[in-house]
Amino acid sequence: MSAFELIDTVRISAEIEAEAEKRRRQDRELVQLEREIEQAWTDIAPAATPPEAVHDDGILLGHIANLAALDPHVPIGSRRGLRGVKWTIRKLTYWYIRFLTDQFNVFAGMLIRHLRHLETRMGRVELSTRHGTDQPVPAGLGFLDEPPEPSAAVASQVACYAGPGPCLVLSGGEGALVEAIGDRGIRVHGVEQDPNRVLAGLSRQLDIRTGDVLAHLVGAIDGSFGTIVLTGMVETLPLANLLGMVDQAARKLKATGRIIVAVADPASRGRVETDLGPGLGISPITWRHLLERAGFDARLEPCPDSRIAEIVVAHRSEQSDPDPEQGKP
Amino acid sequence: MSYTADLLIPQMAGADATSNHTRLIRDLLEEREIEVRIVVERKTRSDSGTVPIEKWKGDARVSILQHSIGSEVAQSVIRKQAPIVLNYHNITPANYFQAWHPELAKSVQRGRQQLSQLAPLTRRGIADSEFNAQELRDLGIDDVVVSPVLWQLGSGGAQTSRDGGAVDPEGGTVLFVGRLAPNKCHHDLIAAFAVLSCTRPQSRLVLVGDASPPQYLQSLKDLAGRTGVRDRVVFAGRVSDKNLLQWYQLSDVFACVSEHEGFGVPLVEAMANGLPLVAYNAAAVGETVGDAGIILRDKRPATLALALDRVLGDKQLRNRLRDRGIKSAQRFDISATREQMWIALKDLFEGEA
Repeated sequence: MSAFELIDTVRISAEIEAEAEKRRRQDRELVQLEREIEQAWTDIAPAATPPEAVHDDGILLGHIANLAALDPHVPIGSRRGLRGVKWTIRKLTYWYIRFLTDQFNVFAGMLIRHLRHLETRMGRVELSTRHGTDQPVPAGLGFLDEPPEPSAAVASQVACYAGPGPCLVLSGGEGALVEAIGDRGIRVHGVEQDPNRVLAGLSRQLDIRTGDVLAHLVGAIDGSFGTIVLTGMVETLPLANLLGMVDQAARKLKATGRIIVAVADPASRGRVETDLGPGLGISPITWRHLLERAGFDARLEPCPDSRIAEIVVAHRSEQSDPDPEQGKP
Repeated sequence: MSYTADLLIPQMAGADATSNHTRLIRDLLEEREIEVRIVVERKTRSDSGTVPIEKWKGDARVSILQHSIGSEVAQSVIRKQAPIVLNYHNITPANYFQAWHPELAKSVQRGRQQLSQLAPLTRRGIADSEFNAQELRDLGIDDVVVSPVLWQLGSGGAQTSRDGGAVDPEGGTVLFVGRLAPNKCHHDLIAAFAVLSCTRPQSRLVLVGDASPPQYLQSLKDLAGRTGVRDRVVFAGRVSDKNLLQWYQLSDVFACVSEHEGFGVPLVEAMANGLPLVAYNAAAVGETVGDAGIILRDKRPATLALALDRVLGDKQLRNRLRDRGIKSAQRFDISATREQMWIALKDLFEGEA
């Protein structure tokens, strides 16, 4: 009997479903995780109500009344002689509180409605300009070519400067730097926003993850990296993002960690790039200055590459470099 | 040329499945010396040689309407009360889009209304799947033939050289290909992936396909962020054929939790490329996959994650599913489906002149 005939997918499916059910019974954390994920989606996804209902004030206010933040019903307690008086006071109080809560709820409802409208409009603006929170790249970049993959010379030199401990490459591109650093036995991963570049990296069995580089850096655990390499699309970020990046990179480094910056000098750009990407990226000298201000000992290392002429290597200044020659290619 | 045929379609886009299908029907008919006109609602740059619907007379021997959404082309058929062959690719129920994209919801709703108006005009229904065929029969169309979508499988095809080697016990790449739309339930896939990540922290989920509606994409990104897997979910967007093939070859398992598929071209592509399948049994999915994949009746995150983990971790199972998938995909090879389509149309051309 061939392997082809041996497989019973219906039985396997049933086994998997039964096993999942068993795990749910045994593992409360799993059930909790499922609930949390479901709740997360409920919070994110728009309510599945017909759009006309959303714009109908009567239904909208009714909905808000149902979700009143203030409960107008006061607790009830009574003694026979005072029951009538208390009942009257309670009714009057109830009407008054009810009136106040209605006012409050209507006001809150209007605010919510306007905020939702504002959110929708903001979303449209972000979509049309491709300038949302998830895509901090300026609109002008759409007209510019992305920085090319670092040359072999740059990759090998950066790999020599990389220190021990996990290494993060931002942005990872197609993985030239990740590969070079990995070849030195250092655990390394890159982050890249362009899925086609991610695909190219994964095709070479490299750990290239997807997403916004700054968001990834912010989400990383403090003190978790031995080396952070800034390159690629870092050249195309505006100054505000770069300042944030320096700050975040400093937090995410170990006490003995280092930052390596491999970018082209914006001054060497052509006229088209300068016109379409004004204010994007900073020169290696400015990087050195920023890193020194952030408490690093930074130096410029010449690089035999036509695009990236200098590489910035920065160590924490409070720890003296045990071997100044270490990290030199 | 003895006969003419009109192929009616809202628009001939660059590379979408219905447009490719229409081109392949045109080639099929022209090979049999039938003169073909493609009638469109909106002309695009890629479809020179088409006829706008305003100039359509409905005088061809056979008019074949490609129907999958509300369109002016379908409306013209209804206005003219012209007899047609209805090639039905299914219409996603409007409720999936209501909260995300009310305009799109209206459009699909209109498509369903048009479908019931087209039923009395239909000489023959051609459905991609038995699931679609049943919908046509429910509308009172008696003459319904099942003939799958025509398309050329990716060049990897059944000759794939996937080695079926071991997957990293902490990793693995899960792939889904399809428009990012609420009915395809990418959010369920991300939810399952978040659970899978607990046991396989180095695993990756790749979602290929453009977003429709765009708000859904943003919500998926938010969900991936909230569940802590944002950097492991690749939103690849619309990709070239070459890159699509690469994604198929790079991945270890194909997962589909769609709740509404009229056929499921990517399922067949995945099988043809030797990817084992894990899918939720809804609409035409079970029918398309057959016994070549793990078909689940429950798609709660833990169940789906367990199924993915099982396939990723069991080399023998993966290889068997791969073999069965490659064999199963041959049912949809272009030479077979073209023949099926011609059988579905043949007598309409060979009847009385």
